Order: sequence, then structure tokens, then C-alpha cells
Amino acid sequence: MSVTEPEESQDRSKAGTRGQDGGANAKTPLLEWIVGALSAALVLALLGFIVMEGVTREALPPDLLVMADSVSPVAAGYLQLFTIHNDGDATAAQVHVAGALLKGDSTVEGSNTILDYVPISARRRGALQFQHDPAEYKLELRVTGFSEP
Amino acid sequence: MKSDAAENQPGESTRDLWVGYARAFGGAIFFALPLLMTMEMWWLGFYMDRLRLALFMGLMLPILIGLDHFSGFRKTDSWADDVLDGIIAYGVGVAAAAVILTLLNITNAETPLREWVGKVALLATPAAFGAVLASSQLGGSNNGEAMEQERKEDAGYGAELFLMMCGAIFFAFNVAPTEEMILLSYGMTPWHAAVLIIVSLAMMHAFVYAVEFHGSHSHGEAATGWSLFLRFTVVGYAITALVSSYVLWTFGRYDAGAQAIFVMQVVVLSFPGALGAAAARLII
Repeated sequence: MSVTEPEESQDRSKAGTRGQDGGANAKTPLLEWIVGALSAALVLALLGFIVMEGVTREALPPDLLVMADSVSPVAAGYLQLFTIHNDGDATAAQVHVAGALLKGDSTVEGSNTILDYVPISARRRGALQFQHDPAEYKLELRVTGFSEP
Repeated sequence: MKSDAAENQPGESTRDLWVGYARAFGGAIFFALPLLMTMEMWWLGFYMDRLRLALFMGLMLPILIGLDHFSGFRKTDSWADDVLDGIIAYGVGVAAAAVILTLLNITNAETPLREWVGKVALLATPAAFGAVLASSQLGGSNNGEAMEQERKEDAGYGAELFLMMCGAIFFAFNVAPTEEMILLSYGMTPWHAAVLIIVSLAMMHAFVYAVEFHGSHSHGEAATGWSLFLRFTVVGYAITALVSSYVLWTFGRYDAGAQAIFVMQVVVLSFPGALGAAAARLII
């Protein structure tokens, strides 16, 4: 602050004379109004968006869809990567995802995991680990349950 | 407006204004960083009730404007300027929250718009408080401080209570979102809660007394211990408890079936809240 002080006091003395003939309007600089208008627009946009969502969103439960992505071999087996998407109107917490490798009617191997949160219209990624290569079997992926946040 | 009005004439070149905004931005980050780095805040940003979030933003704006009147980042002469500055503080808070959330990869290109809006809107509020407090805490011009000091001294009882409420909101807001609030309320017995209320009141009163001693607030000859206790400590604690209840309700912690747990949470949250309320009169 000490660096700017001389300049500030200079400004102040200049401003003092300007203020005397400038009148009350000169007190609030144009820049202040511009920044103020931008801020108001920003805050109102956020507020408007949130209120709109609060009013229009129906009280429907989460609608979770899990899709298989690629398989990635790791040291201890195979990772079946997946993406989960929530098309519903509520956030799901503690989302349980179960996967099974099927050969005909029999289950060769099962695996499951839990995702902390899957918010509305959000995507979350995860993986199930198998000992068998999922590419060689029929993969079944599904959400088995979740809780409200 | 005041006797030093001549000095407050636009000592504000464009450069001074930018310095003020930069200081507000710094204050926003400084005060909101603990919350920006709290995972419960990111989660609340997407799952909390939208209308409660909107109500919260709507209520905080007039409070920011009022706070700016006593402790703005710019020397203000009129309420119109305070309103303008309060709005700008919110804008600065939004910008600061958006920048830090992006910097920490909490929001990115894959974040859905509603999630981004929720997180930024929620975290912009403590950041906006920081923006307003920036000048009084991170150094402003002496001229403005002197005027604000005078303003605070001139301020009546209502204004004192208002400052206490601001302190309670800021402190309560900082811990209210955490899971620990719930865990503590489960673990504590009613006896713990009763003692906590008494300790909260005692600590608060120590601050109230310190403010008297500090001499920045004079309440005349009526300022005896019990009078202070009743008019500031007890009233301040009541305000804090109301603020705590409101903040917890906003975060969806009120469950109509479990009032006892909720009351326990209010008592727990009022502990830091009461400290904030009492310290506010010293700090702000």
C-alpha cells in the first residue's frame, strides 16, 4: 500500500476540485455502474436459472442408466469401465452398480461397486473389476439401488 | 454526508476502483477458500433444494448491502452506492467462486449447467461476504476506515445486532454443511448440549465485555454487566440460534420427524455461530 499512497493523495486532491464543480452524479464513476450492471446481470441470471429449475422440476425420482465402455486389462484381471447417467429429477447417492459375466444362462463371475453421487443430468464414470475377460462373455450391467442424499 | 465529506469526494480514479475490485476479489477468495475446498459444499451445490438456494441468495443480497454500509470495499457516501457495491460484491463473489472451482477441477467442461450454477451460486455467497469485508480486513484507505468507524459508533442498537447476525451467518455457514454437524448431534447427550449453551453464552459475553473495554462502542451509564448480558449476549445468542436453524434448514438438515436431533444440531452450530456474532463487533 505504501507504494500507492503518494499517487492516491494526488488523485484525491485532483478529485477534490473535480468534485466541487462535478455535482452529486460525479461521485459514482461510470466504471462502477458498468461493473454493477454486469454483476447484477450475473447474479440475476444465476437466480433466475435456479428459480426456474425449482419451479419447473417435477418430483420424479432419479432415472439411472449405466452403459459399458471399454475393457482395460490390469495386473489382477480386467477392468470393465462404465458410464452412468441420471436422466431423472433428483440426485442419487450411494449408487450401487452390479455387473455379471454370463455364459449362456449361468453366471461366470459377478462384481459390484458404489458411486457416491450421481447428480441430475450428470455423468459419472467407474469400473468393475473381473478376473475373466468381459469381452469373451455376455456382460450384464445394472443399477441395483441408491439412497437419497 | 459527514463532516469529512469533502475528503470522500471521488478520491477514486479508475485506477483506485480497479484496486478496490482486485482487493474485493482477493478478499472473496481469502474468506471463501475453506468452503470452496469443502466437499459437502460441492455436493450441496447439486442436490440442495433449488428454491431454498434461491431464497438464500435473495436474503443474502440485502445483508451484503447492509454490511457494505459499515464495511465496504469502497468508500461509500450514500445508500445507493451501498446497494451498487453490495451487488458488485455478489458479482465478484460469483467470479471468484467460478474461477477457483475451475482451477481445482471441481467444475469443468463436462459439468452439467445446473450443477455448475448450483455450485457457483452457493459458494458465491461466502465469497461475496469476503469481498465486502476485504477492505476492513485486508487494508483499505484510512480515510474510508475512519468514516466507517464513525458510522459504526453512530449506529444504533439495531445496527449492532445486524453486525452480530452477519458474524453468526458467516461462521455458521462455514461449518454447517459438514457431515460433522450431523455426527456431533448424534453423539452428544442432552447434558452436553445444555453445557454447550452455557459455554457459548459465557464466551459470547467475554467478547461483548471486551468490546466495551475496547471502548469502540459506548452504551452510556446503563452499560452494567447484567444490562450488557441481557441486551447483547442473550439477544445475540437468540439471533445466532435463529441463523443456525435457518442455515441448517437451507441445507436440508431439518427432518420433520426428528426435532430433537435438529435442536441438537442448532445448539452445536450456534457454538461457532455465537463466537462469530460476538467477534463481529470487534472485527467488522
